[in-house]
Amino acid sequence: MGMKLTIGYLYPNTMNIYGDRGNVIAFCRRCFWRGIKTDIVNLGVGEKIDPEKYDFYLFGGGQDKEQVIASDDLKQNKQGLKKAAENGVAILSVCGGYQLLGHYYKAFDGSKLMGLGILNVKTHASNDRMIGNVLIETDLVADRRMVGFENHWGKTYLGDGVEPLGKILKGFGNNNEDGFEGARYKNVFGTYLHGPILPKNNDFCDLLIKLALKKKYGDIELRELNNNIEGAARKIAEELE
Amino acid sequence: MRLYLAIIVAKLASFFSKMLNKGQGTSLPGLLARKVDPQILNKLAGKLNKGVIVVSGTNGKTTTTRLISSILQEAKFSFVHNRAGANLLSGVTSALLAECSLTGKLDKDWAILEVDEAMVPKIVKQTNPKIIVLMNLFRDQLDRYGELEKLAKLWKQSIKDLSPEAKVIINADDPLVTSVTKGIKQEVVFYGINSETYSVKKMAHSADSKNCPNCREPLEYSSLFYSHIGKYYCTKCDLRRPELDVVVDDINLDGFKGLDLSVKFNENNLDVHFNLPGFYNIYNILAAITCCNDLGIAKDDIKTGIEKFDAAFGRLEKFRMGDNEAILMLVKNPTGFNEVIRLLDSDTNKKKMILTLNDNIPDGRDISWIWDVDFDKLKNIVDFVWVSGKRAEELKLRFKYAGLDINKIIIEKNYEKLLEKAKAKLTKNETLYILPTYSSMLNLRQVIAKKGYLKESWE
Repeated sequence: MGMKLTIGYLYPNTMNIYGDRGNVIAFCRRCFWRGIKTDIVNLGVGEKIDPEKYDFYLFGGGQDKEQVIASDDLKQNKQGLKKAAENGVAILSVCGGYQLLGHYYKAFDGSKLMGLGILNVKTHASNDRMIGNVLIETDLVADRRMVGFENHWGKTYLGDGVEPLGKILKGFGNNNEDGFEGARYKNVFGTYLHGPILPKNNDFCDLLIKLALKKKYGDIELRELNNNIEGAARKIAEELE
Repeated sequence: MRLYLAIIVAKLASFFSKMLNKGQGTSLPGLLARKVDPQILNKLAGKLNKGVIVVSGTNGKTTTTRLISSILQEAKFSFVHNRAGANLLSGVTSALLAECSLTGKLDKDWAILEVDEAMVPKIVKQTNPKIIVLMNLFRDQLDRYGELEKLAKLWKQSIKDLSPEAKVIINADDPLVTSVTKGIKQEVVFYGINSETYSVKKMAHSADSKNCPNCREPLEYSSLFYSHIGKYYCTKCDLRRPELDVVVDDINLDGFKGLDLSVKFNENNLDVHFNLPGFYNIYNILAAITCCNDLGIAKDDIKTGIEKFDAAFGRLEKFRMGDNEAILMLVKNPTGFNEVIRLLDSDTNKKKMILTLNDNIPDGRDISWIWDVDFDKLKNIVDFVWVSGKRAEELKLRFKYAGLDINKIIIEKNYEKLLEKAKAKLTKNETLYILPTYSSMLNLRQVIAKKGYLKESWE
């Protein structure tokens, strides 16, 4: 068949703080094992986005100053991402990337770091140290469990039209208040779970691959892979405090 | 009065923890003594004949302070050193307490203190060091330290607390570390590498300080040595690597046999051999030379101190297992791990390895950093690998996604069985490479000692 997916990797040099590269590795490997080719295109500062060109986007987290640069650049050069999102292209955003796909991040002094507003969420600075292992219950995957590690002080609140990814069983999630984690709008996903999220939550990784393929090739049945090693790593993570 | 009571409490705690075999007394005495007398560290530091030397940075603290102590020994100085690597307030206090008499006498010239990066402000305030050596800042335990720039800020503030006569010794090749010297009033001494023999072409994925600390433009390098360490300059502002005071002109890396350096400082030219391999060790040697030169120690003593040096606790520590040799290579963060891979990659032999990964507090609870390590390169040099530690499954997963044949990766969580299994598979004279993270290194090392392969050394 010769299927091929083109991945837009946002700010790979600066927004990759918590092993986010592992998400790229997992996505590409799981495609490779099924004979699907992948092409990774780095979308750094200054590079514009052609919304027709990419089948999947990844947007990781960064340090504060890097997020300021990303915020400026999103406004100037990444408006194409909005159109892609509206068209149903799959996007995975993690931590800082998640915040920047929302409307804004509001600091203690009231100043706002503006995001693209693709996800109807807003984030406020807080004094809660939301760091640790996370376990959520979710409808996204067959065994209804996803694991990860979170590390954030921002509290994210969901508005209309976005659904959380799941319910917190362990950890803090979006804001340590409402018991939910992450956000979804169309095929745009935002989450505080790194770890990174995709290698251990292999079903979620496959879901993203399916969504990317569907947009380009229609419904495709993915070949089953042996996920014993993924499952073992996930199981250990589920039991962590 | 308080001080004497605190000393007695500490001595008792040390005595009982050793007697009850509850550890080596590297932190508990200090912890208790600080409760009795919160000012105890200031008081003890003030008793030293000459003063305190503080060494901090993400990678290389233990090796560097051990190098300095090896040189001080040659130069016949007496000193206190937190050798076992307990580098928080309680550990530093314990080290000083251990050398102090019941009557509060502390007759030593220097205290050489390895200090945790985040603890620099507190320890500087309480010990008033004469010299502070700042080595590097890499991504490490983000769940505990937070961002690198915040650490740099903390360091900068704590230099303000130093006396104006103190010396600040800086790795000029690290742009973020160098940025803390902007506008400070103390004398700064810079060390770094000029030789470009071992430059690398591409920046690692895990490199951290890619942007100018002043103006955020991406930094350019005329020569890059590893991670973000090299001859950098900013194309927008005037930030560039400063002039070097202590400089390496020539390098020869000799695989696992060690390395040779030609170092220039003042009018001196020092050719020195080092028994341990690894490019990153050049920076540890440079930091030690710069510090000891500043103390006025003769060149010959510096050379002897370096050449006599043997492995520090788990850092390229070799031991025999019958017909085989094994090497412990501590890995704690992406940059350190990548440099160990670079060393393993210096010969083309396929190697048998043990990797262990824990997620205890001293390791960092967050293990996502292993996905920033270049396992693709590691895959190419692995013949067979045993993985262990609390998060062994994640290591196996990491190897799988690097493309290693999963039949060559065995999980064994019991350290004793782990060593036995690995040993059974080694051919005659084959070397076993052991790459543990911090807390698993401590546990594994105990098992190795128990099996009689290695003497347990906490001294």
